[in-house]
Amino acid sequence: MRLLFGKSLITLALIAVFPMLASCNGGTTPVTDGRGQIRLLPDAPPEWRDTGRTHVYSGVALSDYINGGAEVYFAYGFREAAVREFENSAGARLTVEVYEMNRSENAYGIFSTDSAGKRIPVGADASYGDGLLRFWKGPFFVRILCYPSDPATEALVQNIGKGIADLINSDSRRPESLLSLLPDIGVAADSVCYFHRQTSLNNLRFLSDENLLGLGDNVDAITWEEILENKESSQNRPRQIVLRYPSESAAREASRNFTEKYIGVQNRFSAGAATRLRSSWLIVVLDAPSKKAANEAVDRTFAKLETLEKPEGSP
Amino acid sequence: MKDEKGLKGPSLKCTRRDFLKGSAIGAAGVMLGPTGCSVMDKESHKPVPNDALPEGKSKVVLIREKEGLDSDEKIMRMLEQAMIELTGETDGARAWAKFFRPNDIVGVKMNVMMTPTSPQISRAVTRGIMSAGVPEQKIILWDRNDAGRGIEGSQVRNEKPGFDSKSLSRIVTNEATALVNVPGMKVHWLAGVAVALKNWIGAITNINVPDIGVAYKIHGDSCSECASINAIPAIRDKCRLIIVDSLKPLFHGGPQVNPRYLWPYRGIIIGVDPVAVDTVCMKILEAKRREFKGVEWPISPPPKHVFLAESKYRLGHANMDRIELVKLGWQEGALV
Repeated sequence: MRLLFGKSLITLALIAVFPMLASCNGGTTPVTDGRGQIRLLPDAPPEWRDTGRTHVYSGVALSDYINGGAEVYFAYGFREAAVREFENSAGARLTVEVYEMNRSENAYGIFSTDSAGKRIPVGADASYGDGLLRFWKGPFFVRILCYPSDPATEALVQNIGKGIADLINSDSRRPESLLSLLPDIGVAADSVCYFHRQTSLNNLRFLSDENLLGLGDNVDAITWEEILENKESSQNRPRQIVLRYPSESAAREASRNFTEKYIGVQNRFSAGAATRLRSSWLIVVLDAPSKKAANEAVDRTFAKLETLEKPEGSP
Repeated sequence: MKDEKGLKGPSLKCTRRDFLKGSAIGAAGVMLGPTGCSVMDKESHKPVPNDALPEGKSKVVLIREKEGLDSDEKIMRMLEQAMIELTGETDGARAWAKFFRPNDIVGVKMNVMMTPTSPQISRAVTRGIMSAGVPEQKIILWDRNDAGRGIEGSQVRNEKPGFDSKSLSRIVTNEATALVNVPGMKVHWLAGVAVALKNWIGAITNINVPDIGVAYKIHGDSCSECASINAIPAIRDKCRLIIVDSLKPLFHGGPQVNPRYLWPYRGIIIGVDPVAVDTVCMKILEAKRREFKGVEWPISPPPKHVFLAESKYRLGHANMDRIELVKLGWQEGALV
């Protein structure tokens, strides 16, 4: 009986795990016309040839395409991606990647991980440089890379990008309440990033092996670097992180943990760090030139947060 | 049992004496690399740390050229010069023959994902191995489940070598008697850097980033256990040489390429200690990031697997004080 029960458990486990494993091993799935991302992929531009390498990656199978780089997307509610490649007679390669996230804020989030480049009017926001166009619209994040690039590349990828963006009808929502906390001046260019997970933060600025801030998919966070006008030392680019937790208790716990294990440890990192809690929000400043500068930065954001949380109509 | 060069043959049996001899050679840091059989059951592919770190300093050779890298001949000459420096031999053929013999079957582990090993480097490596007398068709260039043979294999890979029951490439377990690690060089979003140590991830299958239901749990904790794949006896014992394609490394945002972060470093980096090679590459990438931003821009997350490869698996040196770096050719902008 015990053995049979064990066998049943194993069978159930296999049934549960099999689709996942199949997805992991299978890598790509046959192309179908029914998928949103495939619909968005362009046909071969003039003088370019479709290499026939059109793939769709669902869930964890994205690892088959970009291995560990898939975590970037998993950290933003990744659903599915479609990729199509073209090449021309000069040996250049044109790769179009369409990623669908679970919501548009996360498409913005993945865009914000590296928004550097020339801003061009494609989708909700786009940046271009050295043959790579990145943009987001609705729940979609799109990368179009032509490599190697030449002077005609920008027009080519921009046109393809516009074509894709025109096919997307969804609303493009950013995490506006978080973004409203940004200072009016002094934000380092392209440093604003919206995120949820520890892996995302550690890629921007390694904090700890331990998840000190209790980050996770149910936490909304934004970070940016500030350039201080009156720098007190060469370290003049403090980083701010503002986190919104699902509950006040979660915020309190993160604050307690961070204060105990980071602020409370006497070293050069804690000397430039400060934190402040307000209901389900936590403000963290790192890498300031002094404790005083860190506290001042926290105060500035706290003042904005109070304005944000003030009920409408109150003085 | 080994021949006069100390290289293992394709079907040689391993005795306890051979194992001990191999360990002694490995500990002495001899050029030919780890040679003995493992006391572990090799079929399990369980990582086995080395008994000790290599004695003395690990030699790493960096060679760069300012001009003319479109030519296969130029790349070949660079690689040959680096090989001569690494081995202390008088010519290229002798240098390559220190690592390979005519009856070897050589697996060349390239990288085909995102920042692929350039075909020029792959061809130069293939020609170098051929100069040691290895027939062209006995040289297998591969990544994941795509393999090709000889010089053509640098671009055409239509063989499917498959994986054994433990998810390790059959090229490693069944075909190759010797391996060469030929990675690209990049900063990596999850692992910090991806160079020699991480390149062996392409020799295993049944993995995914969340490490769900996988054969090898390597992605957690900033991919720190990537180091363990290098300690699998079937890989560690056969890998004789590391040749890093540093022609155009990626200093931010990898593995997906943003060309904004590629730069023409125009280098090749070689060695036999994978940890030392990765450490040198890490220093170069750190310096490039600093130069690009004008302020400190540390590699994030820190590449733990490089340090773990030293401290846990004792695969080589991660301390620059224990690395003998020889720089040849173009020195400007070497960054290390």
